[in-house]
Amino acid sequence: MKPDPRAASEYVYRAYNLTIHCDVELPELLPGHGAADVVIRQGLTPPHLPGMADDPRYFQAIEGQLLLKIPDVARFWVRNGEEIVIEPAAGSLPGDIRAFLLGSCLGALLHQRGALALHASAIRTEAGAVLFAGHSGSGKSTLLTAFLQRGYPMLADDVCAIVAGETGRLIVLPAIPRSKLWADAAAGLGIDTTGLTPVYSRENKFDRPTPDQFVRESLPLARIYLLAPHDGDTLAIEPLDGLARFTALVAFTFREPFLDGLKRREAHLRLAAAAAEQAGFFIIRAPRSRFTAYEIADALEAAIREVL
Amino acid sequence: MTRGNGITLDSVVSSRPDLVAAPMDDKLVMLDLAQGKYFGLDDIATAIWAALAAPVRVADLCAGLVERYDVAPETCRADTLAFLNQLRDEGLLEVHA
Repeated sequence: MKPDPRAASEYVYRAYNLTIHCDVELPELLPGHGAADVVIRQGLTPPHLPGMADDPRYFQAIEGQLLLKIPDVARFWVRNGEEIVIEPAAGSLPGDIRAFLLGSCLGALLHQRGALALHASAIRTEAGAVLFAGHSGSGKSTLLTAFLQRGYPMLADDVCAIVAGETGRLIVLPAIPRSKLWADAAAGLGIDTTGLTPVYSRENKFDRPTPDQFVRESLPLARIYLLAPHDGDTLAIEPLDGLARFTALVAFTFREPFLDGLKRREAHLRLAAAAAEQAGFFIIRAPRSRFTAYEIADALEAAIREVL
Repeated sequence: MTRGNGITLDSVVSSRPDLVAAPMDDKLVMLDLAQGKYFGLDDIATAIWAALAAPVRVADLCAGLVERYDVAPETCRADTLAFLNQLRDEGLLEVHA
């Protein structure tokens, strides 16, 4: 008899509009209730996926399945957008396992469920959801925190999911109520990191819970700002047109290399094209040499007020 | 008539049917899964691409474009041939004759 994975569930959470049942505690997530959309459990993972050989790559993917192999942390098996099996490595830290579980694994699960997962943070404005997309270290969490300080609630930090709503209009899903901050960014924002939990034990990056400033329902996609740090001295915010928008969305897709194995390129193309069409699109060229989060926030607040 | 490599007004061509495409405003983004490459077509290229769904002789394609758009026949033929040769070089075109 097959064991029922649901029998092992002890904790129930809500993230990305999904009810998640899990047999380990995930303190970063909001509590949820009801039947499971997704089950996360500890168990055994296969040595490799069907039709593939054991290889040194950090992941393997086929349609509906992704195997993520992080030495000294865990192996993760993400299946059909419905289940994540975790096989922890001996002596690994729960916080490190959660960093990969809530990042790469939920990202793969979102791909499997047909969402457009972007490397972006998101806030709620009067115009709708506004996204800040950028690579690690480009300042998206810092900018998000600057907006949190001004009273804007957030939908996502780091991994932002976009899906098609009932009318074809794209919506942004509420993700995880936290903002991840590098120690230097926290200092620039006047935030003391002594009481915060490091996101990953080897990094000087901190997890700042934000449950009181978190949007719990999905919002229409309004704008996407791309963060492009540069070595010059001037801050410039310019509209992005045409095919450059699509190219940027591909570049800022979270764990984009997962798409081929998962056979999600086609669905991704359609959603990315729709997002390029529907969202207002801008590029923020910010100098690396100084702390610019407040300057950028001033400019964006004014720009968003203008379109209303 | 130059045969072999180049596409001429006498060539019969069509778009590769297995490409994945999605409209974006008046433009088109396409994905060639076999090559793992994305392509973007601007508004005019998108209009030409739409006419390539079934095999068509290039001269007839150009005549149709001249009828629909405000463009001199000479310019249209030159631009269309350049674009079709580019498509062929990227492996996106089927050349039937």
